[in-house]
Amino acid sequence: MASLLASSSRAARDDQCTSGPEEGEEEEDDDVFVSSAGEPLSAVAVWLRPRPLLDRLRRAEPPDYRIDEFGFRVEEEDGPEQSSSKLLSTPFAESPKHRCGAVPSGLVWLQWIAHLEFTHNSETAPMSWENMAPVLPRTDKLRAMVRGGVPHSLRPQIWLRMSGALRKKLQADMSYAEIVKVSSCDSLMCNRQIEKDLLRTLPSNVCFSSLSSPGVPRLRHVLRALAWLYPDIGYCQGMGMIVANLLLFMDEEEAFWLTATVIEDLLPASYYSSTLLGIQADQRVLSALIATYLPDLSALLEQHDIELSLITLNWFLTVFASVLHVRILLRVWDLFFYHGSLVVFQVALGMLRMKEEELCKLDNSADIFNALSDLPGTIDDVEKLLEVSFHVSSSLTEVVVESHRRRHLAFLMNDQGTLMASPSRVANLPKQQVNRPQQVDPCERPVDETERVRTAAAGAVLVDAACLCSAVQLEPRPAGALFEPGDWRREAERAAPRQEVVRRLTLTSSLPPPAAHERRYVEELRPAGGAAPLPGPDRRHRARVTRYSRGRARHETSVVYVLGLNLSTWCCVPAGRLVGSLRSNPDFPLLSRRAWASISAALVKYGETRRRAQGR
Amino acid sequence: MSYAYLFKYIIIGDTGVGKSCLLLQFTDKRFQPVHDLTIGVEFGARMITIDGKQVKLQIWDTAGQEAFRSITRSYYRGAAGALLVYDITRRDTFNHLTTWLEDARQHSNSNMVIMLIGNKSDLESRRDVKREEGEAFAREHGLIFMETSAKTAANVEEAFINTAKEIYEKIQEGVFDINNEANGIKLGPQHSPAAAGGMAAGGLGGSQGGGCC
Repeated sequence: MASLLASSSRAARDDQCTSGPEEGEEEEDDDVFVSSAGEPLSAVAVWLRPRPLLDRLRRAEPPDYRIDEFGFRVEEEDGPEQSSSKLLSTPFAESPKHRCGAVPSGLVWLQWIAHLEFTHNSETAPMSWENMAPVLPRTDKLRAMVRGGVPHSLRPQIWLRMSGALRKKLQADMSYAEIVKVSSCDSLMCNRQIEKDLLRTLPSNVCFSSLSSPGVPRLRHVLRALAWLYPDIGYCQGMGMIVANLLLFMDEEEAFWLTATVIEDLLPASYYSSTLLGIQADQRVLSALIATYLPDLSALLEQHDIELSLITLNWFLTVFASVLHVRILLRVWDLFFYHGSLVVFQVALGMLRMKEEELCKLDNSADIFNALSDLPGTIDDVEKLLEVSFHVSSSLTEVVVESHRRRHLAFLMNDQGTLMASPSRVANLPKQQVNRPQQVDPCERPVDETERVRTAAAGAVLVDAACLCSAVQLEPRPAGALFEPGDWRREAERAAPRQEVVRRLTLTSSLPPPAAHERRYVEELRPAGGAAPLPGPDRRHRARVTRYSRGRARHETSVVYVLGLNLSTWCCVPAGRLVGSLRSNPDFPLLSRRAWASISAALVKYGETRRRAQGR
Repeated sequence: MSYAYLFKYIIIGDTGVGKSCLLLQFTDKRFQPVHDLTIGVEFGARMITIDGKQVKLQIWDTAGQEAFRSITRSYYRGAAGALLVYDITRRDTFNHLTTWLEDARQHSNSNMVIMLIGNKSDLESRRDVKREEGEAFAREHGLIFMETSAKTAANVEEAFINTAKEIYEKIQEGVFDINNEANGIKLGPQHSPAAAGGMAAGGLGGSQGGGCC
């Protein structure tokens, strides 16, 4: 047992030391700083520590500002928050003493190692990260341990294995190195914007504060790679915040795959896309949840007409990275990488609950606004936060969130469809003389427009479906369920006259077919300004085209799925009859056979769920 | 601290034009060369004096990246003034003004006072947009115009204060209904009970009197 522990401990550390690209010689530094846990930068990956600064610290000539374990400059005026005993009582990174259990919190570390050994199923292979399964089995035991916090030195490896990021990395068509390569010579995309934001992401952290800081090139690589991988997203401010915080603890390849997992799996679709539809829907979900779980606060917000999403958008977009103290953040992320986006709601509700009484004492909207936006910075007790979070939202489940989400997504798409469908409404402006940019900036891909049209069309379909239900005289469903009977009818009335419906359906049919999409992708890859056609599609290109069309199909299906579900929620009819009525209506000739199949399937599935629920 | 009026401002414009720096210079009188990215919205407030009256400016600083514009609609709601900012060293930020203006006009009340600001006037050597172009744009769209530098603080006070003066004049002329908070104007605590309660029915004339005495 003892030897296993020693070897695993070494494995864990070796792994952390050697997985950084420009590594090797700094290993000795590791000992210096790990042994003095609590020192500046001691909780940051060794390869990210700025060398000149290390030299100064070693020569005992510290700079005139204080640096915390995570490399953040501590301004003395931050006093109350920083000196809080809760926040600073224990050093964050474990020292070797912890690892042999000599101090109480070291026991946690041992417990984790024991758990990992227990789940490590190979008798013969020595236990090392490489030999360990890429996904940790989800057990009650693991969940309980995650709730207590992952030991800091194990975080990178545990996060990768809890979230599925490691599996994603192993299953990917392309390696990170390949993606970095293609995304760096890709002069298109958002690389210019990324460049501008590199120093604005974590300006107060010495690992990211100047162009020569070790974090900056890594941040650049990861953001470019993500923008390349997700053409529908490109680069969205806020993503950088997550990436930079990850880079403090793990190498860039790991940070890349973990962020990809956040985008693809942990958060719902369209959190970072040009429409931000997913995150907007979640803001509405939050507002609905507040009404349920925090009625006093909800009343206060309503009374003062406060749009909470202005403040919380930031929390959700960065998964709290931009607002919580990093010590608190890491504990929240332990849970986030295990449970996904549910945790974001739980913690948001928990934070609001902790300050609910204080907020309700305020009597003017400006003060409330300020208190709300300062709120996360005042959180200094993570145990209390988690306790309150789980307590206040004890009945909140993934299913509840998901059903709210679908509903609000439908409304949002609806709104956007309405907006899009009447561009003439914005015309009350003096005639414009300023020319729009004549040349399309290669950094600003025209993809946004398509995406917008597509979303608008999806929203329009939804409205039209509501109209259509009214046209084919389907009964509204009885009261008491997700939708009130009047809801869909109101939506239908908002959707305007009949010719408008037909017009919007035409809009739907103007969605670019996948082939055009792929063609455009090839266009995009053409060297800027050059007429030379590309060499025949190689593996990488093929992989990307596949990804592109797969993404498109996914998008289409989700739109149709939302449509189908809402139709069935709105109307109290069996799936078969609904689809039949819609299909036979001449206004709906444009949806493809596949789309109908999906609607049909969604309806059947929904019907089953509902029957089950009713049976219970 | 008590005030006679509270005005809500918003600052809009492309990412990186210096919106947050302008706000910081105005509220804290300092310049931070590298400012954190603004995601969502940040707030600032400062008290100024106009015509002998204390006016509190509540300023909302917004994210500039294109994607966020789809969600900025709610920023505009209830704003009395807007600073529309571009960067004189980057023409694209000037070219995007029309779309910003469209957004602002579409989502705000029609009386909102808009101040056009060409920021970074300290970088004269890298100038890409002529002062005259800014003036012409402002004239054409009925905006007030100013070139500022958040770095040297040149014209920053003036930009915020002139906007407030314009709003104040509109109140005096009775253009703004100050009892309707959707206009981005609130009477201060010591004024509001009488004004809001007793004179609401009297309309503009009455509430204006409330503000003056």
